Amino acid sequence: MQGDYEILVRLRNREQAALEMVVRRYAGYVAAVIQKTLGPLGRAQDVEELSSDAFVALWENAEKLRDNSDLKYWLAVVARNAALKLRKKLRYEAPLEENLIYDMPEEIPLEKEEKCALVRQAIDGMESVDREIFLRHYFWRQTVTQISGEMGKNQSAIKSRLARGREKLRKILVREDLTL
Amino acid sequence: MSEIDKLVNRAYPDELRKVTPIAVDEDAILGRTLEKLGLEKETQPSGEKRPRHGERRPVKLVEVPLEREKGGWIKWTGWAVAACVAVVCAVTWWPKLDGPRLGAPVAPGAYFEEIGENIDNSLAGGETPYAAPRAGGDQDSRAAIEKTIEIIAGVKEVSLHVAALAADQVETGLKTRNGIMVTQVYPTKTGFTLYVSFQDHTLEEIELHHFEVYDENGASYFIAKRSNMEGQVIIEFSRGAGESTQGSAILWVNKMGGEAAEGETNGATAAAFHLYPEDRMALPFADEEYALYTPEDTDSSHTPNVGGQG
Repeated sequence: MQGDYEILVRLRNREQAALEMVVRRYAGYVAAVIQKTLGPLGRAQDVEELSSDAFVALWENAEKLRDNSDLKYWLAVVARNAALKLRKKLRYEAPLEENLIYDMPEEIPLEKEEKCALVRQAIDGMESVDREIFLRHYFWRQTVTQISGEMGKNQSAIKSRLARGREKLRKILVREDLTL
Repeated sequence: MSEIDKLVNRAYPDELRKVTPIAVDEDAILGRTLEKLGLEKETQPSGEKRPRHGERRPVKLVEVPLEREKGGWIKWTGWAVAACVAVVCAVTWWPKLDGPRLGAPVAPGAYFEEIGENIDNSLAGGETPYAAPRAGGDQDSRAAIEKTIEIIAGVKEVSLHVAALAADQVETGLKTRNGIMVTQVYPTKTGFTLYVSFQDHTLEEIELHHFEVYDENGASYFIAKRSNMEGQVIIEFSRGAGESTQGSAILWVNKMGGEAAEGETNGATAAAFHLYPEDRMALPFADEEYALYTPEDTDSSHTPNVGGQG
């Protein structure tokens, strides 16, 4: 099986067979990312349309990718961003539960990488259910209603767990106040 | 994006990798992809049958048309020429790149040529003339410059999230009304290299634009190298010895000299960008829609809830 680099070289050479190969290899994955991002508004035709957009982007930008690019991840990022844009266009943007910034006293002067480590520490330290809810809402932008329906929990419980998670995150970030 | 989902997105890039593929109509997606690219589906030769289990596919001799061989020969010739040009450029420029490649700061004036008369030489850091070779738009020149940039770039890969700084300069996240856009950012041992594209700007207009970068503390980067070309500028920014290249930075793009555009004055800021470093593999994208994060949400209808809920 050809690796990503070989496929990338063939895409740069404008080999259509390489494009077909990458479509057949990653279409299911790309579609899954799009569907997960679009949520219940994700119609099959939207998923197909955005999937093809991702592969078009790969074909058009093959020259710009680095030789050691992870094509699968690259396609996922492109697909997810396209899906987020479509959500916004469809005005399917329910506000996320309470911005953390309003809980913070001031801008927390942390190194970005340290912030990421603390965020992971806080979220990974949650109960598995809380963690799943947190990531569904803040990474996959799923609404409380959608999470409630898919996980079989009532909306109040979802909101409570999100609030608990935010509070935990806030405490960890504020306590670990590191200067640059 | 709100504060929380920015933090979560940065902390969990692997969430995307965990997604399980779903069943889709691959032919439909392929067809739509080819349609958008203006390509036609390549048909399989008719009459082929799949071999039965255990049966080996019979070897079929295919006559290769003469034209195809010629095309292949021409294709390889082109690559050979490009490779020769790259080697010549590398041999020519390699001694001049020894400083930054080894991590030493670039000495002002060490290997730069004086640039055109319309360009202001008093950049951040003092009198530092920099090279502005007029690279043509042809592929070989561009390939040679990109090869040079690769030589300059360090081995550690980080991705830089680029967002527009000033709201009134912004049309979308990374692109200003003036058509100025940061398209790629590569780290170097002493700083980073930026690719800045200019839509609807002539080469002469591009040369009138000056670039300054300051870190979070207001300390400046100096320009180690600049290459102007049609529609694009490639600039290498560096710090002095012992100075940190971590943390975020602000890129200011100012237009100097020449005729002021309507509604602008000379010396006006043409664009501004905020650059954030991330510890992740770089994903150079040509357009903001392919950046890892969506642009800053300037839609006032998306107002966060204030106060506790739930």
